[in-house]
Amino acid sequence: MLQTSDKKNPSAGRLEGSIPDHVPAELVREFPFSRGATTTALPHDILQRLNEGPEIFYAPKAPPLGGSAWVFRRAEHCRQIYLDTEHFSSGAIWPFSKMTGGNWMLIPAEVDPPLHSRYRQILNPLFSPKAIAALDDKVVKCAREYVSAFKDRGHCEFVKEFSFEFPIRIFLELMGLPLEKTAQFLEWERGLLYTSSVEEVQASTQAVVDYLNAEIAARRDAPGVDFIGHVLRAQIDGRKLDNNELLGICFTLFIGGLDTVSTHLALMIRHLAEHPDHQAYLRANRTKIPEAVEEMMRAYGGTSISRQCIKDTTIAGVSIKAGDWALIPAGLAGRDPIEYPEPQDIRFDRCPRHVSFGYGPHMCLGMHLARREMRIAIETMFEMLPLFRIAPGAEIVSEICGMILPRSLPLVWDV
Amino acid sequence: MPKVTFVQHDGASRTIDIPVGMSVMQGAFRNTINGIIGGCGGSCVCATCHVFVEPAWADRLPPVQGTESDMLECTAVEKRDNSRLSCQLHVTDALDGLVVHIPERQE
Repeated sequence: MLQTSDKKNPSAGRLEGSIPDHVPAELVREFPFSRGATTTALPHDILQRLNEGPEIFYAPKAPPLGGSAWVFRRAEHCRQIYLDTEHFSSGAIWPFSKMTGGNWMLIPAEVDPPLHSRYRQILNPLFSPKAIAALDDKVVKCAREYVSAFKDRGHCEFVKEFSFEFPIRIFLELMGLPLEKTAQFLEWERGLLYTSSVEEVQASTQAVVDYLNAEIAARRDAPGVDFIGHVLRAQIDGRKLDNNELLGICFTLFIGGLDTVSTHLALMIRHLAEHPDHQAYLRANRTKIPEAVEEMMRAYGGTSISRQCIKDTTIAGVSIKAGDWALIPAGLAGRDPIEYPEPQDIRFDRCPRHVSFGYGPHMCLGMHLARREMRIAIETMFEMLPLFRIAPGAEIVSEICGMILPRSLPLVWDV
Repeated sequence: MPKVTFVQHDGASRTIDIPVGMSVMQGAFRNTINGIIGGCGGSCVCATCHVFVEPAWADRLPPVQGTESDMLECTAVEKRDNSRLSCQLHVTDALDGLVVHIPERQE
């Protein structure tokens, strides 16, 4: 039977500002990002400066919602935590259910092994390398549609006109949700993930929950061939999934697929626009695009993941106690100088093993789809536009919390 | 220490030592063998450590179970009778001399 966890503290952290007694004073450091914060600097440069401090530190106020947590910046420690499900749990790492007084959980994201893999196995075939390879034509067609709309204009706002909607479009189609509701979903997504007001998060969460519950109910008798249909038909222990399980899975798919690809795509296009030599190289060597995507995923990881320690342990001599929270910011781990020498250098031949898609049993379900979308988006931009650059004088503002997201990316090119 | 040979799609081959107990995938990773990704680190969720075991060895391996079987349906290159996920193959002394072929793609 699934249990929800502690409703008292929805923040995936100990109470904001609270430092447990066992945390050595010299390991306490501020984390530079918080909900609602923005910067005009390069966000990953800000993160990389944390390399000057201790390998493991304790932030009094950490993403996603400001609770205090250990922060890990060594790729090796991050992989260790991701694999160590005996000491680190994924339970209650997201606030959505609690914020709406629900007792469902995000599935499989908040489920620990061994139960985790029974749910994960329902979804793996939908997102496998084989399944995603079959989507190429669809993804290419979608990318071309977006670029066609602005290619003759000589300028675009890349986030608004391509990266924000493109992955969502593809994803809604896979889920079997109506494309006409794209704008509505984007609005809910903003409320879920980007606003700093608790009320907005609650309202958006409730709206998404109501919507998904209605979709699930409407399709029960005739599930269909899309992702939701697949989940409705799935069985665990010889029984169909119950309402909470269906909602938990659909909600995870919903938030997992929305802004993660769009933000990483925007971060990559920003890099290519700001580094014409790299852009020119890839234009001349299209077969290197997949490797370039991996290296840029390494250097520009955009998400942060939480875990809660459930059993006392030690990492690199630091005592982590049950009840402590751990934050793994991909953007920081990807700048680990020990794992990735000169981490600020983007080297397309580096072929790094990064943790921007996570690691271990919860490793990003959508990663094969994400990679394909980013690769095809870049190929399409190269195919349909000449060398593009950031519009002269434009200042790129990035939101910096658990997610790193450029708010807009004005590009120009010759026509 | 047991030796395992990896044969690339283009025919190039490399033989490495892998300690008893380590997975073939981990051994490949530590020795920078190309063509095996194993992104999830051996958790059997990513299907990117696919190998074809040379037929002479296929029967000497522990049988495919549950999750590995499901994930073999998910590989980029269609699975064959001698397909395995190398993260689930743990080296023993009896496997000294194992030969695996790396498929053309993992994604």
